[in-house]
Amino acid sequence: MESIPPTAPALEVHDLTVSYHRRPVLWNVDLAVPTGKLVGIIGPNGAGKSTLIKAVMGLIPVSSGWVQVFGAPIERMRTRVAYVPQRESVDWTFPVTAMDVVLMGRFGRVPWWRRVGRRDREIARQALQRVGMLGLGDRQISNLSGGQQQRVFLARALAQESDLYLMDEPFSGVDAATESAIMTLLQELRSAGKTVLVVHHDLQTAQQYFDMLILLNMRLVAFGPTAEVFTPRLLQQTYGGRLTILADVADAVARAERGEREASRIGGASGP
Amino acid sequence: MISGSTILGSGFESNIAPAEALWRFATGVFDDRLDSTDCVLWGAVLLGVACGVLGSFVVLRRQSLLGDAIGHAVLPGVVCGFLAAGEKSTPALMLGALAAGLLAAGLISLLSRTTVLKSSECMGAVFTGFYAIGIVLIKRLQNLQVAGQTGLERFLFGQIVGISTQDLIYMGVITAAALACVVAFWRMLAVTSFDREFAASTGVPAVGVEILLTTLLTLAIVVGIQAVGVVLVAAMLVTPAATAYLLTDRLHRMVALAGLFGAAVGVMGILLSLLLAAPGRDMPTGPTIVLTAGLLFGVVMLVAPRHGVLPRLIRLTRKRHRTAAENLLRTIYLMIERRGSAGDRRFGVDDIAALRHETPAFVKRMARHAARRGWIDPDSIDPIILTDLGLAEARKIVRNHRLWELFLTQEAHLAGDHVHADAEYIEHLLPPEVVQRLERLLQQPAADPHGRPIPASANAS
Repeated sequence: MESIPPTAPALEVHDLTVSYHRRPVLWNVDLAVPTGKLVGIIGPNGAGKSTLIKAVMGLIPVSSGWVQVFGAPIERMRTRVAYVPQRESVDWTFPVTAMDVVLMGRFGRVPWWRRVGRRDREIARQALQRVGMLGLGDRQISNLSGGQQQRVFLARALAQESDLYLMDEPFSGVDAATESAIMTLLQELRSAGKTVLVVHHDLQTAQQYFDMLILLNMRLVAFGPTAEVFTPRLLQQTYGGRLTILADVADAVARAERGEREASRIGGASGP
Repeated sequence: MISGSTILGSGFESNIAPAEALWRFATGVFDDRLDSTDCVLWGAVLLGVACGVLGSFVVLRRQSLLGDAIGHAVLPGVVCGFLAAGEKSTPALMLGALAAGLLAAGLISLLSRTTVLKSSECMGAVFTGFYAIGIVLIKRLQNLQVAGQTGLERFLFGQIVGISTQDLIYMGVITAAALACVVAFWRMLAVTSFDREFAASTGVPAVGVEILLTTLLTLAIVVGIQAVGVVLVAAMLVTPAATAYLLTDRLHRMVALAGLFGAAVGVMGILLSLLLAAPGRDMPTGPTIVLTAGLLFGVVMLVAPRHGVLPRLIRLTRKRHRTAAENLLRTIYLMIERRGSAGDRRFGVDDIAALRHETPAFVKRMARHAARRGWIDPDSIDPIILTDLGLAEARKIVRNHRLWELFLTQEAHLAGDHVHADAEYIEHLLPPEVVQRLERLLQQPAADPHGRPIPASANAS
């Protein structure tokens, strides 16, 4: 086992910069998320919310900075972190049942030469039960509603038995019943001392749902307890349009890095 | 020069009648020597299994074009293998093919990551280029009359007839190795095919799995080109797997079925080319195998229980007939309400037709569907005589209709004159558990929004 410093935060991000095709989409983000919190990540479209958690999971390369989970690099902490991708990111006509998908949550813990055991199946069964889907385990996943598909994804994360959960828009496109079921689940996780980061779109519910908020718009606008950062001034800074200059600079960086010539506004306007 | 017939691949010698050819083939298979007929048959089985199993992952990852690309791209590798070995030694040709396939896959991946081009453009550019190089090389060797080069062009469209015992052994070893890898790395292949990012998040080496799968795919292609050639091998990857996909929704069943279908169409294709060959007319085996695969796909497409065209048509027709019969019962129930009692169970066809604004002939057709379900007396066409079963069913339908109308007006707050058409449709679809929920929600109502009584449910009456 890793020896974890007692004070290590669940997630620490230091000076993180991420680029897509050389175009910076996140600039110099610093974060230290304490354990046992429900944290919402909010910001406008294109703010880099999904990018942030993908970079934390090591799914995309980072330009600079580092990420630590419980005081160690993510590569050594894979079994303690569960990632829930956006529901739209997979093909739901894939020939597997809900139970098959949840069992995938156990794959990270079973070496490739061993079979998935009875205990793993029991854990997956309980995960399905916790999201209220036990009776639907045998269904092929395209025969599930959007909310049910989202619950399957959450059950898969539960089956990972992790301590830190990173969820990309789990509330998007789900029915009211699923939304409240997910919320209950998140609160249960928090009571069990788990840390949960959730990319969220709805400002109204963000205020009720989360202990802490990460306000993001290509850079970290604010991070802190919801009561302190959910203020008109900070929200205006997050959602306001004054930062388009950051996007323009990002474009310029991308062009320079790709070796293209500088775009000349004047030339473009008067050119043929 | 490449003659016309070798360009398009060739089949069995055809100077004997099909029946005799089949007989000779069969006796060749069932004697106890491993001879050329056995090689042909087992070659087809190996090709089918290898391509079917690996093709399943190609289909599920929506990479069918990649199969086609690698298939074409192995051709220059075959020629280089020949040049390196100085003769047509099977392992040299196979190694060359494997190397060229992997090189092309690597190049495609490199191009799509470093340029603005999408991977389909990169594939299109790379595989046609490789293929052209292969053709040019073959032509060059022919022009130079290099010793032993004749027969290289059979890799274009395949020639299973020429397979030797030696070839067969190599094909067998490669297929066994590829299948063993699929079994050993099954979970990784499954999870990365379904959800690549999640797989990577749990520490599965996604790039490594990709390379593994591409290698296995190339191996399957190397097995396949002997029999069907580089141009058509993609069909053996895609078609049996797509056929299996229509029939099951479990991954392991799909992969097993695809392998089975691959082997089956391989054998059937060979028998078919034997049958269709005649003196002076040979049928190329490779294309015949591919055609057989296409035929099987077509049949399954028509009859597959869940996704097939015919079963869907049958289900729709049955549903339409049931709806017609239920509509008849509802009209009859309204007539019972008007009469004030269900004592007289006879209803004139003309009366029903007038109420429903339909022709008597149409009502009689509805009656036939109702009679088949035991709802009306099948021996009396006019008047229609309602059975006990029919009366209970009529109550249920009217009940569903009125409960739904009530729900729409009370809970969904729709205006009373907006709800009838909707209920007309929904009444045929409501599952019993939804009806129970409606009853609880509406607290066992007695009348619908138009004030008409809602019939008691069957178990209550």
